[in-house]
Amino acid sequence: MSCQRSFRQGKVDETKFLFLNGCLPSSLMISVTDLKIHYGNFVAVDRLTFEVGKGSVYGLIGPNGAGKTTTIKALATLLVPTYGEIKLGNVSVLNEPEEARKILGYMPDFPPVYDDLRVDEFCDLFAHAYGLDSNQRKNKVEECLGLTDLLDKRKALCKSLSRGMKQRALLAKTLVHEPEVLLLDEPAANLDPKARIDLRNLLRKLASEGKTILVSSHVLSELQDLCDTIGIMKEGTMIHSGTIDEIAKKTNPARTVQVHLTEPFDGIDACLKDFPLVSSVHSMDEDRKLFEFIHDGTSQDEAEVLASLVGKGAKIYRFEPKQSKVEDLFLQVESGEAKGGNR
Amino acid sequence: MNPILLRGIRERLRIKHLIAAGLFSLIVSATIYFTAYLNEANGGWSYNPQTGQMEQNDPSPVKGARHAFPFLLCLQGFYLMFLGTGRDAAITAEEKESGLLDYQRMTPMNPFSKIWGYLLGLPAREYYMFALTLPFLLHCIIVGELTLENVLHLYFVFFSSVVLYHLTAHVIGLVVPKPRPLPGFPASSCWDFTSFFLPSAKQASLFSPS
Repeated sequence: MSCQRSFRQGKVDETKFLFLNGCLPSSLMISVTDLKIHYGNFVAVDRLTFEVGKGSVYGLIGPNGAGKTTTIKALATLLVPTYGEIKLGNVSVLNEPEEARKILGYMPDFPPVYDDLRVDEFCDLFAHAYGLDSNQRKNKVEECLGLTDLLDKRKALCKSLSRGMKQRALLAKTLVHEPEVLLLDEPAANLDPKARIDLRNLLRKLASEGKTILVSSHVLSELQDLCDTIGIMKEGTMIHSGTIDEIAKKTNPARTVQVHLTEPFDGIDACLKDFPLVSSVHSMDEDRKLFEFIHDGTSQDEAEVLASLVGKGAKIYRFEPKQSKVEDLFLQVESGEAKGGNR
Repeated sequence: MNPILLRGIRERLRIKHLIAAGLFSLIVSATIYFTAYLNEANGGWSYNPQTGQMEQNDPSPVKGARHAFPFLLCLQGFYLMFLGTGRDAAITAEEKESGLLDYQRMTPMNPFSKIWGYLLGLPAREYYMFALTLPFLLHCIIVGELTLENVLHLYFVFFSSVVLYHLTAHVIGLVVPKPRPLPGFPASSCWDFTSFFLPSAKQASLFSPS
């Protein structure tokens, strides 16, 4: 509030002003700056910097031991970093952990629950602990169990649930106090395919309502559809951060283009040889109706390639750059192919 | 109600627990108390060194109740200091290991509420078993003509010890690497109870006729 009031009185750039006063611009919800976490001599996280906008879903991916869980625990106030700054909105996690806890919901990778409590009692416990009164609690617990598809299991003891159901109960518990920031560590790890789709839709819905979600996952295909931006971690550092397309451009500027033909066209190789920016032309099927080539030019250059093919008689019904999958990016980073980035 | 206390009650005092623990506590308390009480109330036997023979004393309900009191106190100590302390340490260690304690750390309850919630909530079943010994205590106070002031003084010390034991159990639960039954700690609690607490109570003239 004080930041906003002071800003109205002056004529300075809002972003610069807010940063100078230790506040984040309203569009930013999570800001991690130069984070270092050491376990004795072992450096779990090193100089990690990233930002997540309000209402967006950020995916943290990386191999085992990359520092994802450690980072999420530090954001959740459960670990004190060795160095660095973490902000949730305008709340400093290090200086005001109690305030930060009010606005965040954390779901760990292994779903521990109180075995001898019923599912509704488990959610009610946390709604109560977060200060909701009895009527609010009842409604909120019903709502969250409905969102996580556990209404028919609400009277079951937690110990009788499958691991996937425990995961959903944990998500329901995480949502009862309506946190602005959700930190989800491997939320889809134990879920069946339908539950994964439901989870993805739920998280998208929550994001559209303005909640900021940071999710780490090994189910990379899930992140592709779920996340607005991703961060790829390796050995405690952020190798790349940005949208999937941005990272794809950084890791491999050349784009793979797919050409779908209605009937085979033998002159395609000869035709594409005329373009120096085109390489690695190869057929993807036995009928020679699907081709892929790598193109190192702009969209304008691609349009010229398309026009040339059509001009020479190729019957093309689809000509498109191949989507960069998160798996591909992850494997590139894992194998050390990716270079550059924002370390 | 404190949410952590409510959780303890929900978790450990369901109907089946109430029946099982209630029956256990009532049967054991009744057996121990009335065995000790009736033994003395009907005229206990004692050795007379002058005649060298066992002689029967005069029947006295007052003596019977006072004779039964330390047995009842031991039983109450067993419930709260042995079972309750062990339960506290084991659950705390388990919650720390599983990560459940992290959830509680993240809730915005004040630390004092959290501590009281854990102190009273985790051993909820043991407190219930203790509560079922209170009718026997009441009988003991009335029939044994014990002074209320001394009894209150004794139970103040008793509950201070219980709280101290339970707090220590939480600390132990937080530092042990893996959840385990912690048999050593309750055993040492019993040793402390019999070595220090009971002699102190005797010193307070609770067990001798006023």
